[in-house]
Amino acid sequence: MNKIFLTLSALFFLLTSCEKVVNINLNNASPQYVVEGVVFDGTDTARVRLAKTTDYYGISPQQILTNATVSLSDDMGNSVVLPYIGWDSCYQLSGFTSISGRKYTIHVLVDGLNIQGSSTLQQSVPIDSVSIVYKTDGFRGAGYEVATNISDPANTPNFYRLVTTINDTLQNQPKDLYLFNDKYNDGKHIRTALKRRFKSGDKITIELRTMDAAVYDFFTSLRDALNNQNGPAPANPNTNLIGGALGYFGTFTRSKVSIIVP
Amino acid sequence: MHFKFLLIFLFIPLFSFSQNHTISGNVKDAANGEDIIGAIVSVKGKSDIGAATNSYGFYSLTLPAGNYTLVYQYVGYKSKEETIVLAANQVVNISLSMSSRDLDEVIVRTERADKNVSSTQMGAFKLDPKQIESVPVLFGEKDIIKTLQLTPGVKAAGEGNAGFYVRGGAADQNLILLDEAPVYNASHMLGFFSVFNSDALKDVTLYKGAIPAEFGGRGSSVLDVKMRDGNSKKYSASGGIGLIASRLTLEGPIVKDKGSFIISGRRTYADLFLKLSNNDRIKNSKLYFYDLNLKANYQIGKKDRLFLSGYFGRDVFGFSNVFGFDWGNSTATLRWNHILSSKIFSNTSLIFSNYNYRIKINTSNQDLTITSAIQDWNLKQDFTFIPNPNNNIKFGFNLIDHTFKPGFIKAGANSNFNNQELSGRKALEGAIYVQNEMRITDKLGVQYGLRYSGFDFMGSAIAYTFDADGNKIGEKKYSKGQSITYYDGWEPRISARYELNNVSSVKAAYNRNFQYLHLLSNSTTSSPTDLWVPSSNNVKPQIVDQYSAGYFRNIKDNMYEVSVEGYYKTLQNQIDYRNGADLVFNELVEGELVYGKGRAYGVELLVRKNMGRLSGWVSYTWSRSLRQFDAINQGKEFPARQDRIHDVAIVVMYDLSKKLKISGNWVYYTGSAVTFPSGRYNINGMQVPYFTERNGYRMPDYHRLDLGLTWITRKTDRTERSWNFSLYNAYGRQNAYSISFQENPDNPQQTQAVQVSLFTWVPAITYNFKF
Repeated sequence: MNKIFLTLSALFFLLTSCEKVVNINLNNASPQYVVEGVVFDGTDTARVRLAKTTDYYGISPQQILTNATVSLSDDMGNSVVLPYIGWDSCYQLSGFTSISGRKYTIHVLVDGLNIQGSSTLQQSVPIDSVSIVYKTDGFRGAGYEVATNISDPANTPNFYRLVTTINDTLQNQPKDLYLFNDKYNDGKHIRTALKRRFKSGDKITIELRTMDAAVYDFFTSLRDALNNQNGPAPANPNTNLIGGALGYFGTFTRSKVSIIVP
Repeated sequence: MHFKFLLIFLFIPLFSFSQNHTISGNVKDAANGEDIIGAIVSVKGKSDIGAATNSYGFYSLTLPAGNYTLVYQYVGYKSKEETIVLAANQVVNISLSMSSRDLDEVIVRTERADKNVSSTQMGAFKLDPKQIESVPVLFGEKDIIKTLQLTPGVKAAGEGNAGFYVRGGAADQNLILLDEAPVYNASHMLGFFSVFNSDALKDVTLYKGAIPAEFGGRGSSVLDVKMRDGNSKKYSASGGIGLIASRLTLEGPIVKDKGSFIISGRRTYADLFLKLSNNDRIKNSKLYFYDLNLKANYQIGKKDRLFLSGYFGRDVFGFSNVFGFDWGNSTATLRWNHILSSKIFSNTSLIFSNYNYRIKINTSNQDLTITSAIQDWNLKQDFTFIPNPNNNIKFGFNLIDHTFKPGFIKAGANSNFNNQELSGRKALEGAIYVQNEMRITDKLGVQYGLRYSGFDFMGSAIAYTFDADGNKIGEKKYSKGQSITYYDGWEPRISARYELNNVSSVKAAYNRNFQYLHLLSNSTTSSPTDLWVPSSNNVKPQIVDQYSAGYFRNIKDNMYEVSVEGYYKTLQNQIDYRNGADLVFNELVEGELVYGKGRAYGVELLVRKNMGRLSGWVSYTWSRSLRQFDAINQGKEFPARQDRIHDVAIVVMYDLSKKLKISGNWVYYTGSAVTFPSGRYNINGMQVPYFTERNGYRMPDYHRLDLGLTWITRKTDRTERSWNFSLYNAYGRQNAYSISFQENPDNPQQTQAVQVSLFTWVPAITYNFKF
C-alpha cells in the first residue's frame, strides 16, 4: 500500500521535485561486528563472513576478520567447524548437507565475544510455472511481464524471496529485494510479477527461496533500511543474532527456473 | 454512565439571586445577518462592566434596576448605543454595520482592541478567514492551517503540508473541530491542502495552552473552526477560479431574517495537467479532490434556533482503470440553541463524523477491494450560565460512540486473496465539565474548570495480550457491549490574568488533557491509510500536562500587540513503533507499539500589528520536544521529529492603494531531528547504513520567502472582482524534503547522500468574484 502511495506522490511531484547529491557531515561510529551466515538446502557450501563496520563515507573496503572460531551445529547434536579459507573472504565448509525442519545454529567466537544465531530450514516450495505476458497497461508500460506462480502450502506461514539473474547479471540492488509472504493468501496460488518489463530474448533465472519468520523479518527490515529511510524512524535491520553483532544467519531452500523471453 | 460523572455537579458554585434584571439578546451583522462572535456589550460610564457574545452571537448582562446606556461594539464595525430603562428582564437584539473601510481609517483585525491584554485566555490564536486572503500560500489556495503554521508554537509537518505540530506535540494530538464535529484526517492530496475551504468559514481559533474545559480528547491543542451561517438578508454568490482549484459559494435567506443557508464547494483539477502527458498511463489517471460545505439555520420562535451543518470531502486517485484509491471525511452536526432563561443559554448537538478510505485493484490477475473506516456519533449538551457580569459559567457533557473498522479485504472472483477482516473495535467516550470565567477584581481574572472524562473500550472484540517483545501470548473474546478496559481521569484547567496596568498583563495557566484515540502512521507526513486506534488493554490513554505563563503588552494605543509565553509540558503514555513495525493490515498491530514518555518546553514571542495599511506579525519560537522510550535509543532521551529549536515567521500585508495589496511571508526553522547513519557495512553485496541513535542528526535549516499581490479590479457594495497572484518560494531555495543514503551508482564501493527538494518557485494565479 505504501508503494502505491509513493507512486501517487511521484506522479504529483513529477514536475516540481528535484534531486541532488549533498554533503552531510556524519559521525564515525566505533566499528561493530557484522556477521552474514548462509546455509542452503541440500548439499552445498555453508558460509559465514565476519567483518566490521566502516565509516559511512569511508573508501577503504570493509575490514574482514580472520581470527575467529566459527562452528555450525544442528538440533540433532551435530557440530562442524567452518575454517577461514580466504576465498570470498568467508569461513566455509563445502559439501555440507542440511535437512528441512532442522534448526541450525552458528557460533562465532571473536575477540572474547560469543555471537550466535539460529535458523530453521523450511520446506522447499517449487515454482509451478513462469508466465510471460505482453502488457501495455499497468504502472510499468509496455513490454513482457514475467511472473512466478507457486502453490502456497496451507495452514503454515511461509516466507519467500525471489532472487533474479537477468542476462547473466545477478540483480542485487536494494530495489531487487523481492520479499513476500502468505499473510493474505495462505494456501492459495500466489502469483508474483517481477517489477519491470522485459523484451524478447531476455534470459531470466528466477530463484525462489523460503526462510523462517526471523530471517524474513531481517530481510524486510533490511529492505526498509535501504529503501525507506524517510520513514519516521530508520533503524538497523532486526537481526536474529545474539551476542552483539549486526547481520543475520539464515537457512534457505532454493528452487530455480530459467527462461528466455520468446 | 460512571458514577463519577455525577460528582462534578458538586463543583458548580451556588449563586444568590438578588433584585437584578437581565438584558439578553443577539448581535448580528446588519448586512448579511451573520451572528457576531465576541462582540462587546458595555455599560456607558462603567467601563468595568460588560459582556461578550458567545459562538452563536448570544449575550446576557445582569444589572441592578436603573437607567443605562449600553454600547455594542465589534472591531471593524460602527458601534451602536442603546438606552435602556431596566425594570424587568429585557431582550435587546442588535445589528451592527461594517464601518466603511477607507484606506486611512484604522482597521482592527481582532474582536476587541485590547483583548490581548484584558482576556484571561492565553495560548490562543484567532484568525478571521477573510483577513488571511492576501497571505501567499502554496498553489494560491488560501488555507487557515497553513496560515496558523506561521504563528508561534505551531509547526508544519513538512514542506507545504497541512499537518501541524503544536508546542512539541504530535500531529494526532490536535483536536480539529468543524462546527463541533471532529475531522479525523484534515488534509487532502498528500497533505498539500487542508480540508478547510476558507470561503465557508467564519471563525477559527487555535488553543495551544490553557485549553478551556469544554474541549477534550486530544493532548496538545484544539482547532475550533466555525462555518458561516449564510446571508439571511439576500442571495449572493462568490467564488474563485485558480490554476489548481475552483470554488463557488451560494448563500441566502430561507425566510428573510429567520433562517439562511450556505453551500460552498471546491474542486481541484490538477489531473487536467496529466491529460497533457503523451503517456497513455498517465493520461488516463485521476487525481483530484472536492469538498462541499453545507449549512442551514432557522429561528423557531424567540427562544429556539436550529442549525444543520455538514461537510463532505473526497480525494480520488485512479490509475488507468486498474487501480483506484479514494478517501475522505464526512461530518454532520445538528444543533439546537435554546434560551432557557435570559441567563441560561443551552446548546444541544448531535454530531456525526466518518473517515474512510477504499482501495480497488482490478487487473487481469487481481481483483480486490480494501476498505477501512472510523465513525463517531456524539451527543453533546452545553450550557452557558451568566449569573452576573463577573461570572460566566459553562457546563455540560458529551458522549461519543466510536466505531473502528480498521480493515477489510474483499476479494473478487478473479483474486487469489482470501477475504479477510481485521477485528473491529468499539468504544464509548464520555466527559462532563464545568468552568467559570470569573472577574475577581478589576485587575485579576481567573478561568477555572474541571473536566472528567472516561473511556470504555468494549466488545464485541478480541483483546490480545503481548509479551515484552510484542509477541502475542494470549487472546480473549468479548461479547457485544462487554467492557474490556475502562480508563478515566480528571482534567483540571485553570488560568489567571493579572493586569499590571491598562496596557500590560501577566497570565499563567495549567491544564491536563487526556487523549484516548491514537493515530498510527508509518510516514512522516499524513497518509490516507494512517490508522486511528482506541485506547485498549494494551494502549493506555495519553496524558499531557502543561504549565504556561506569559507577559502581554499592547503598544501605541493597541496598534501593536506583544506577547511572550513560556510553557513546559509533560507527556505520558506516548506511542512509538518497534523497528520494522508492520502497521499495514495487521490484526496484531498493538504488538508493534512501544510506550514511553516525553517532555516539551519553549518560549514564544509574538509581535502583531492589526491596524493600518501595514499589518502582519513577527513570530519567534525557541522550543524543544524530547521523548524517552525504554525500547528505543537504549532508553536514552532523544529529540522528537518535531524538535525544531528555532522557528521564525514574518508575515507582512500592505495596502498600496484601495485596489492593490501586497503581502509577503518569510519562514526560517532549524531542520527537524532525523536519523542518519554513522557507519556502513556490507550485506548480500549491498551497502547497508549503520544507525547508532534515534534522531541524532538534523535536516538542513529550512527557509523560504513567499510573495503575494491582490488586485481588486472592481468593488461596489454588492460586487467585487479581484485577481490574486502568488509566488511560493520566491528565491528558489532548495529545501530538503528528504535525504537518503545510498550506493554511488558510478562506484558501488562508495556511498552518498541524496537530497530531494519539492517546490522551487511555484507561481499561482486566482480570479475571485462576488455578486
